[in-house]
Amino acid sequence: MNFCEKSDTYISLYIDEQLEKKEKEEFEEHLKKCTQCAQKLKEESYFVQLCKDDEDIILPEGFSESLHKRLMEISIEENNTTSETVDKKKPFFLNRKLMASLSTAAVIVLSLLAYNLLPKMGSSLEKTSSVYDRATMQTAENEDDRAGIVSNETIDGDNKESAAAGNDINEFAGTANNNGIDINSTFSDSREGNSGEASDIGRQKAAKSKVNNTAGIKENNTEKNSKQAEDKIKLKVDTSMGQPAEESVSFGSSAQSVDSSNELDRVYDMEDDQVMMGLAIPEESTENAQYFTNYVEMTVTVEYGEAEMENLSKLMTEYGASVQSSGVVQGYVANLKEDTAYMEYTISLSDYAAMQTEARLKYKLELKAKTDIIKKDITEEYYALENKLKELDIKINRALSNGEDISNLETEKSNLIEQLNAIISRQEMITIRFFFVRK
Amino acid sequence: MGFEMENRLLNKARLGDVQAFEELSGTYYSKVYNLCYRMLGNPDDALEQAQETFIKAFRYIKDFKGNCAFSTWIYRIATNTCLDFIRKNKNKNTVSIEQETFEDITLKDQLVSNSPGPDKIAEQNAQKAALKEALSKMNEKNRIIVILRDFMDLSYEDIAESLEIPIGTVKSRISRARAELRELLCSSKEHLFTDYVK
Repeated sequence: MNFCEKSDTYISLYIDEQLEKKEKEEFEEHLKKCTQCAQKLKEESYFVQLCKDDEDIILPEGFSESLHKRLMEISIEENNTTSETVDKKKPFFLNRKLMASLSTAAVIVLSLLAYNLLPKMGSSLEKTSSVYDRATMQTAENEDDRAGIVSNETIDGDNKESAAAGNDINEFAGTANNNGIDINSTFSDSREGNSGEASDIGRQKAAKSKVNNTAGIKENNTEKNSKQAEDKIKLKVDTSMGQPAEESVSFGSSAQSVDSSNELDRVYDMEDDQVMMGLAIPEESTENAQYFTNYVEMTVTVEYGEAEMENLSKLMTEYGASVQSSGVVQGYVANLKEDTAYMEYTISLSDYAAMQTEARLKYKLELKAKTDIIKKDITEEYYALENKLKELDIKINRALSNGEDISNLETEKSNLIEQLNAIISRQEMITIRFFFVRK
Repeated sequence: MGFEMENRLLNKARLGDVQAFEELSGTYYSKVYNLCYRMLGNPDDALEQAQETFIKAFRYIKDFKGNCAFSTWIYRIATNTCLDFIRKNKNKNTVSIEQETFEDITLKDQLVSNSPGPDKIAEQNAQKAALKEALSKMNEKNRIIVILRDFMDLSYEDIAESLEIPIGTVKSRISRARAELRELLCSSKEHLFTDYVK
């Protein structure tokens, strides 16, 4: 083998003892004969040794400190970026709602257009008629309730039942009117008989500002020959755009009394609540926002007892936190049956890293995270609360229409809103449970 | 540091825990600083690029999957940081006004009792200076190989991981790099080593 040609490789591998036994022996034989390669080996071995003997330079003073400072800055910067990203999501989240509302509005407009363009309007009026029948039946069942809802001033006894039925239909429309997406669902889901039927009226109502008049008019005619009357009414609605027909003057005022959407809200009964809740589901499914809580367990090494607790309290005050809860856990420290005391604080997530450094440097506290930061998904909890809020709104509206005291409900509502806000703000917070363990 | 401990610190560091990251990487501060110092040849740049290395490591620790040792991952970042720095500063034609500063003092220099005598010290210092000069003249890709292998005593496998090259390439690059260093030292500073290598 011509070792001289590849002397650099063989010399290097020989120094590092990387040659196979046979190769090594052959190379050693070669070295005995070739002074040039032997000289190269001598030189290279010496320089390699010189490098190996070269002492490491001492780390400059303050290296760790200045690096620490820079790392902390990055940590804070990154946390801020994260929270900014979360903030940026909010408008997007809101936009999605806006988008949902806009698309709902678009569907309504399209539905109305389609309705007006449909050649066989009679079939939809037939549907309307069946709603009347249903409404009338309901009215018969709940006549007592209805009496309270309908303005009696403008309805004489004979008309009472049908007027009430009108309101019953109004309820459907009110439900739909209250919530754009509900209307959307009602309109699009023609498979559901009742909803589909209601939607026919809903369309008319949504299309015209005096929609409830239509219902009122129709109710008036339910007791007569409905089909013929409806055609006539339909014509009136279409031509007069919500101006009450002569026949419905008596209802007109009652209808006007429930003209605004707020007023419409008041004429709910439980069944309608259910309808609304059922229809509200699709709105939630469009929401992708998720909510989390952050939680971590840390230990504080205690040597002097109270001193560390006091220091921890001072440290937490610096981060605007006060004790949220405290207690003891038995057997927290492995192989130790005694109780371990803990205290819980909530601080900003972006302060979490800085707090640990501060604890170490300023307060000489020995903190150790015993768990990773535990993120708990509370999205479901959030939406459950949101649904409660919706239900509460309905209750409040009903109570208002009945002239009942709503102060309790209002308190409950503000509590719920507070809870919802807390969930949102908790996204950027972390709850730390500090366990005090003996050194 | 035990594997379990390193893993725990890694997980925490991945979540942005500065303290855990410092605990994990603190062992390599000196190694990385020395790598940078030998690559860049002056303490100021070395300090800056060593810190840059750890800052990058902290930023990207989330992406560290643990496919290699944490140390080799850190050395890889340090190597790339230095090579980047050299590339960016290549056209700046800076005149080195390098002088011995307190940063150049090694631990051995501080131990007076270990001192072998003035002549010997003078000779050793001259050789060190020659080595340093030769290093600075080397092609940077050869330089990093010599630093990793001969100054830091990394195994072929660790070098392969640090530079993300195959073992075979490591072998050939080590031999090339050593040959270059030998040429540089023997051509200009032969007189310093005559007693030892002739």
